[in-house]
Amino acid sequence: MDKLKSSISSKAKEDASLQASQLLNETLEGIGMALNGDDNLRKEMIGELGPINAIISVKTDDESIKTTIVIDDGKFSIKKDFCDSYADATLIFDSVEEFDNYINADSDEAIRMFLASRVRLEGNQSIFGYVNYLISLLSWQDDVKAFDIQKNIHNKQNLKAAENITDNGRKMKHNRISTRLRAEKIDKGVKWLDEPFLSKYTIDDFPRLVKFKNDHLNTTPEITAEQGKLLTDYFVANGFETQKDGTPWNPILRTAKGFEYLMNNKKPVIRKNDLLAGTVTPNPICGSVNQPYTVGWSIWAELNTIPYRELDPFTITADTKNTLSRYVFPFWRDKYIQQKWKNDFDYPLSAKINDRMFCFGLWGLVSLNPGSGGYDKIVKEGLGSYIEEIDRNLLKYSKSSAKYQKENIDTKHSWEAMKASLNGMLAYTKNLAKITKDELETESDPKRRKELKQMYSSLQQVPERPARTLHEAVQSLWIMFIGTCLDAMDESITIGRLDQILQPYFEADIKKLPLNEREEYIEYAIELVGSLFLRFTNHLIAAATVASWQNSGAPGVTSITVGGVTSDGKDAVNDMTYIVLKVAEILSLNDPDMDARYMVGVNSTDYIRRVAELNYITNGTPSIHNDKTIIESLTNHGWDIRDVREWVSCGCVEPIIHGKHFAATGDLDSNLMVPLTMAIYNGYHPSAKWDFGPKTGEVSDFKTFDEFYNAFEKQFEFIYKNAMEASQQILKVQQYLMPAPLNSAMLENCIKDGVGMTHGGAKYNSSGGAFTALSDVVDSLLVIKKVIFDDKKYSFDELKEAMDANFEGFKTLHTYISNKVPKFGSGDESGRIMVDRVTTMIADYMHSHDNGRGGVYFAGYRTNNNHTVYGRVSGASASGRLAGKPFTSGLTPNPAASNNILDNLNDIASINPLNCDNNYTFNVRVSFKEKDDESHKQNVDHLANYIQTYFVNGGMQIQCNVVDSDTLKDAMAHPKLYPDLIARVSGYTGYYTRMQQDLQLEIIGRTEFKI
Amino acid sequence: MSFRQPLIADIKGNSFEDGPGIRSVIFFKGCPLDCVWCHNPESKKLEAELWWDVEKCINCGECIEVCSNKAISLNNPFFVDRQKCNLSFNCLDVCPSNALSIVGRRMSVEEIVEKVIKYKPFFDSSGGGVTLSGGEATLCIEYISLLLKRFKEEGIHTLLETAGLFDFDKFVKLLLPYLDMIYFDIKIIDNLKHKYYCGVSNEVIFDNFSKLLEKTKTNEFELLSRTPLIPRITDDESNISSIVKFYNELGINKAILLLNNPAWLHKIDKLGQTRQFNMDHPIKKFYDDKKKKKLMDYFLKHDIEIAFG
Repeated sequence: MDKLKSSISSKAKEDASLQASQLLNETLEGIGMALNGDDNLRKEMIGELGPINAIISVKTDDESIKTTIVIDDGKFSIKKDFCDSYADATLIFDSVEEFDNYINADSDEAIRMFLASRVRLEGNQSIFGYVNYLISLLSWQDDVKAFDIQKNIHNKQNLKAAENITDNGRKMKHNRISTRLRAEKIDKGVKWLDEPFLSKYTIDDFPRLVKFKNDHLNTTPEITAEQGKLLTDYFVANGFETQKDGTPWNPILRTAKGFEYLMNNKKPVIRKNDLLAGTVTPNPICGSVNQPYTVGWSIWAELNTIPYRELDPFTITADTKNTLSRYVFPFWRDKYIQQKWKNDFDYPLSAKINDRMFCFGLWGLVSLNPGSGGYDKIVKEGLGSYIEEIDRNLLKYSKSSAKYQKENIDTKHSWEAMKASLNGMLAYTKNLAKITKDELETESDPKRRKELKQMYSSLQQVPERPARTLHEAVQSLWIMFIGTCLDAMDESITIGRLDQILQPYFEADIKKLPLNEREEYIEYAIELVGSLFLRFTNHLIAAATVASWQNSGAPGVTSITVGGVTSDGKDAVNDMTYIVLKVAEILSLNDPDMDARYMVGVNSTDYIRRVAELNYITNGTPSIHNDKTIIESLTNHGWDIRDVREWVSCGCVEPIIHGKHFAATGDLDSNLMVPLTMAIYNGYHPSAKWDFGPKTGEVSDFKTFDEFYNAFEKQFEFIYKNAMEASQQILKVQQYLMPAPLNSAMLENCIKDGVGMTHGGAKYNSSGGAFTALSDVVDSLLVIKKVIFDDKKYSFDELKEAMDANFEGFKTLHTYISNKVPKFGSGDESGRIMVDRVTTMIADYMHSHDNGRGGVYFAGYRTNNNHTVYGRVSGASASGRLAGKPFTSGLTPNPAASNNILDNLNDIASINPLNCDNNYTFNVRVSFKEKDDESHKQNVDHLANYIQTYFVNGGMQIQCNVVDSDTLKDAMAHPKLYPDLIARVSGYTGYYTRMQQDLQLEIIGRTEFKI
Repeated sequence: MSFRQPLIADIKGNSFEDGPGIRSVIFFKGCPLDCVWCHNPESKKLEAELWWDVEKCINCGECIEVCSNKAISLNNPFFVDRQKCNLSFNCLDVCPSNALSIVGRRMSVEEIVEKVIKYKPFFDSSGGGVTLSGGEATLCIEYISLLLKRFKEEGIHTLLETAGLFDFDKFVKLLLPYLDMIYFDIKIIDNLKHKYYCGVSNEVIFDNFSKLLEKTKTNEFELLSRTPLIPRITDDESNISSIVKFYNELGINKAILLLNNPAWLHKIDKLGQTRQFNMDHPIKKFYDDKKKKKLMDYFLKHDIEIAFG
């Protein structure tokens, strides 16, 4: 991430006698001479819209090192021994020693130092990226060498770790597929499938899907500049802050006009031989979007090296690189959410906390997290009816009094904005129809001609008018998906209940067919849904390497939900449920993210067996949710049960109401260990080396456990007060920069009231908190309560001293606290009482705070990969966890809690679901004996029994990785043999072999219940 | 009614191997047999025992200070001098790693029910229940009668694993009404060999088995026999053919074979007991797959369906 490092490192190798300051200055002088002396390189400092100026300071906290880089009018210079308080960004080292460590660190260690805030960046990260980009123009080859060295080290380590494996899982998947289950027709809603599990099909029956899947697995995605370039073109021509005539833009109208221009001018693409027209990016297989409003800039520093990096590499053309670095990124350098937040709110404390990466990560900086628009309604009614409704509203407005019009001008603009964005969708569809026709004219293969004709016919109908066939429905969905990606960040877009959306069209089609053509039609339906799945893999978010560590292997996370109950509480499982599950099985993709709802007693046990079997065959998908508890947690807010029953999983696992709810479920992703640590250290945070919290007392002052708990609660409130303040400031910035007119139009009430979603226009509003480290916090509190206050075995001072020393020299104490106190997940009542106390405290606080658009905050426990990220920056815990070690994912108990999975299941199921309205993830690895053909059925039954009972007991969510440690080690050592081995991280699914090594090891370190 | 409260060696919460469905297994301590291959050596003795796990021990020495008989020494490779240990169990509380633990705790019927009942929803969904194992549960027949009765009151499926040496009349009166299933061990047919390897005669055992089989015609319970396959001891040709003959005579067409699993051997050290087999004895290896297949075919040839446990 930081390209300065490699230049300084090579300088240090040249001349070992240089002191830190000298080394830094001489390196920078060298860089300046090289950049200034070459016309081509100088051009990089002059963008297409004018010189790209920047001021970057580098210093240690004590300022014993300080120097400032100035890029002005195409010239790179430095100011020695000077730290500019007006610098765009400042790179800060803890100490001179850390500076030296950093220079000598390998690339992994350098990132770890950033993640541990031993090196940190304050200010405008985009501009810091720009300066790094300039430096890497000179040194990128050194970086590539360093990548190769690091890759080799990883390969060697992985091979060594797998040395003694005798029983690997190379044939595991093959065996599991070859013994798959059959089923009778049981579910009432299944009318057309004679064998609902569709066990006779494998992917090989669908050559088109085989080809597309291979393309997906074997093609490096491309960085594309289309969205950034077209939006920049539009705003250069029409003004951004104000319009060309000087009048201020209404923000939502501005965004909509930019979007409309983008959709009008976006290149229409049909992938060769695809059944669906349209792509998110110009690359037919996979491209990155690089949203300029959010994190598009974050690859600026890496434009030269991104094809060579180990994690998430992308190809990039010279033209794209030039467009992004000299045109798009400079234009948006202050116009992205994070920087505008810092500028508008005077770099508040919450932004400083956020920059240090140890405490919270506010997803609102990255994405609107728009959730799930009403795709079902659009498919059913067509965009035309939306536009008509807007026109009616506008007409009514134009006939109202001048006073009314003046007071409600924003409403008018919101309608106009929504209409413009919908028109953009229709324009894009027209362009797609045109190229379909062109292709049809040159295509001679009769089979393909038939497909193209169908595509053309669908594009004439949808998304403007109601869909009539399955193809029209899927095509309509896909086009709308493209729009929602480009409207407000291509991330966590939730399609929702795909089985419910498509079933009427499937039925309409198949009904018309004679009996002997129905089987072929079912195969067609599988292929069509499979093509849709593979279209979702068409886009990725390109982000900095540090993000690849943070959310390692995460794709765009498009969520699809199946099963559960209908709005009137009846069994919703239908033919399309099983078709979607079959597609998920044969494709085994990292994206879309599959979620299965299960209502015990209403959905059949055959259905949950099929869901369990999917998990068994694919290792890691789907995520399985308890309909009953989730519905309870949402109706608790007084919401209409008929709406709540239409909930879908969004982002990772968060329940939101399809088409009616703006949930921003990732608003407060955070590290719950921070307030506990600060309660032990009286407001100070030792690994951040920062004294910023309230003074709640030294540990020796606490006379009872409750006194200590109160201190924890105070620190908690301090941290989350800041986080909520930040979330609402960021909302204001979103209202200005990314008010999402298209996503708004798709949510119920926004058109009716003329209010966009960021202003609270949706029918339901909430924001989500997701807390990492719950089980370790609870275990720590259990130790403090029992060992210090109840048994008085050790004093709090002793424990703190041991934690300071990372338990070195405190072996007996460390062993004692690790083994003698029952943990959460052990089945002991003390764990249940403590987890209830903590989750109730959190939920009460969250539920009593307004989120700025008429909703409250929800509480949940899914962690993405934050459990490793935050583990790395957290010192030793009172539970006995060592410094830097990962927390458990989601709210999964510590592996040492119990070797009996039932204890884990029971303790989690005991948590009050009303405290977890943002859901949680319970991740375990289970490995089964797979001795013979009978094993498959037995194992699936065991898994289904666990899930069913856990849900009866009140559990909300479970996701299993059905794979043993040896197989994972073998996959790390021989990644090519496991191209589609997927693993659940915490809420998202990724290809295991492509994950960052620390996360791979964390997954191996998870509890493995051998069954 | 007064009776001896037995020692419980362990309660295992999530077993798929001791009967149908998800089961909790209660291991009773004490056994009238003394099989040389016993897979649960910690359940053999009637008395509580001290368990020492070398892998967990951190050599902190906290236990030495509290040992009233000075039986523990860091220099002793077995850690505990079993001759000196008076089983005061003072060392358990201070041991930070739980390397020292007790095998055998007295528990009331209600304590056991409380431990197990929390898994009942899992039993219900999977068709599982509770299995009494050991040791030999029937040593405390009055106690387990009450225990089984309580399980039945809770609607829990019950299974007894027994070596078969019990008072038949008492068994029928006190246990049979509350049992859904019995796994009955048939180990060695030759009585001399049985005495040699298992320490007791097999006459009563086989007699009990035949009588129980009769009872299956009138009472509602399922009886399945099990034979542990112990290399060179129970799996030789003559014993297997005698078992087959025995089954054929009784008209039995379904039985269980238990595969030898060497995982138990390490338990011997933790109890401070001496080893009985030399290092290259096949009992120290996992059971051979080919042999397993051959045996299954042999049984099938004689109309006996085999399940492996």
